[in-house]
Amino acid sequence: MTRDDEFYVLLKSSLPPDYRIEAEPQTAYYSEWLFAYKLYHHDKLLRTFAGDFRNIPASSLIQEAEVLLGAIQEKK
Amino acid sequence: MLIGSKLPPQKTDCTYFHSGRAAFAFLIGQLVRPRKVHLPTYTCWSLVDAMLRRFPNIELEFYPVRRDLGCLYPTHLPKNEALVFIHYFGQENTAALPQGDGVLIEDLSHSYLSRITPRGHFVFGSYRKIMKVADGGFLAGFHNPVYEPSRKLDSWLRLQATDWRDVREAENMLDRNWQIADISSQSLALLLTADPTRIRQQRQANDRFLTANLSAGIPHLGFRENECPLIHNRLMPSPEERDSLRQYLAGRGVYTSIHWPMHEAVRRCGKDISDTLWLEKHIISFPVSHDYGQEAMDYTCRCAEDWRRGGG
Repeated sequence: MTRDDEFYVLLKSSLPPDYRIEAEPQTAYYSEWLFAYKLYHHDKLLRTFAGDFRNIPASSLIQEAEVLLGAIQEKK
Repeated sequence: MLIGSKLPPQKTDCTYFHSGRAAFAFLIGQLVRPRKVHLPTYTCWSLVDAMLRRFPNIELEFYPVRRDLGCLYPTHLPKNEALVFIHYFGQENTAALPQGDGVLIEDLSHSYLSRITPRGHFVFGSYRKIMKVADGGFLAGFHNPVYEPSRKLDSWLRLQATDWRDVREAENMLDRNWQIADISSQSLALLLTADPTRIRQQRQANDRFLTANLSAGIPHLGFRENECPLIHNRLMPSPEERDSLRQYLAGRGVYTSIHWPMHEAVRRCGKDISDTLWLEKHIISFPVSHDYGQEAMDYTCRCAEDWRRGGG
């Protein structure tokens, strides 16, 4: 497991107040590897991130979060 | 006599961990180091997964559990083998334990607040199931583990949560990735200030209310005065009725669960899993948390009655 696992917490803890990230976890047992996150600016859905942690290139998700945070900071 | 100001610190009679599975992994990997571990066919995912991920070289064997939760242990437990037994849902498991020189490990995750005299050589458990804390597990006795580094982000997320989705996401994080780490200060503070008698009494009252008033299925277990219910289980006539009830209740804001869908390793174990499979298909678990009082239990019963009157 890489730090991809920290994607949601990183964004939830670091996004400015006008942005928010929401998790849409599956409720079935044993679905812990599946992820679905939605990024909003105010109430506008900007992006959806969904997939299976086991099938993504290592560190790709966490790098996306870092780029995203950098871009938002730059805009501010 | 020696008198000094630099004295060794006092020690507790309990060792704290980030989770029950961390306590279990420390116990297996550092203290017991068995050649084989026996687990029940009827169990949650976490112990099975802890064994498969952490101890792939330790043989894993399952013993059958009947639908009345009677455990069919091996008659003899040799040295170098360990057997885990569970007091399901808070009810004391009184089945005769195997003879032999093996190690008996008692899981108190469901029964932490039941007043049970332990019979195992080691006693461990999780606090999260019954104590409403963000994290926490324990191993009876003082052991002083060298904890593994952990940022405990699942605990952070639980404490940040405002609805079930973040709690579920935190649960998923813990399932994906965990360490043999220490408990958080938040959880420890709550544990040390909790009122176990009040929690036990409220859970017992909630369970009694559902036993008397819930008009769906039949109660799975009856609890004695010394036992603290984790949840209230009902057995439904068919999986279709069970699933219909679950869906109906969820639509009314009453969230139930299934204890438990069977782990793939159990499915493939070659032991008699017929009763465990039967439970998976017929059981529905109602919350009786001490957060809830009679009003919440009454609402649950009224919703179930509405479902029944509507034809199930």
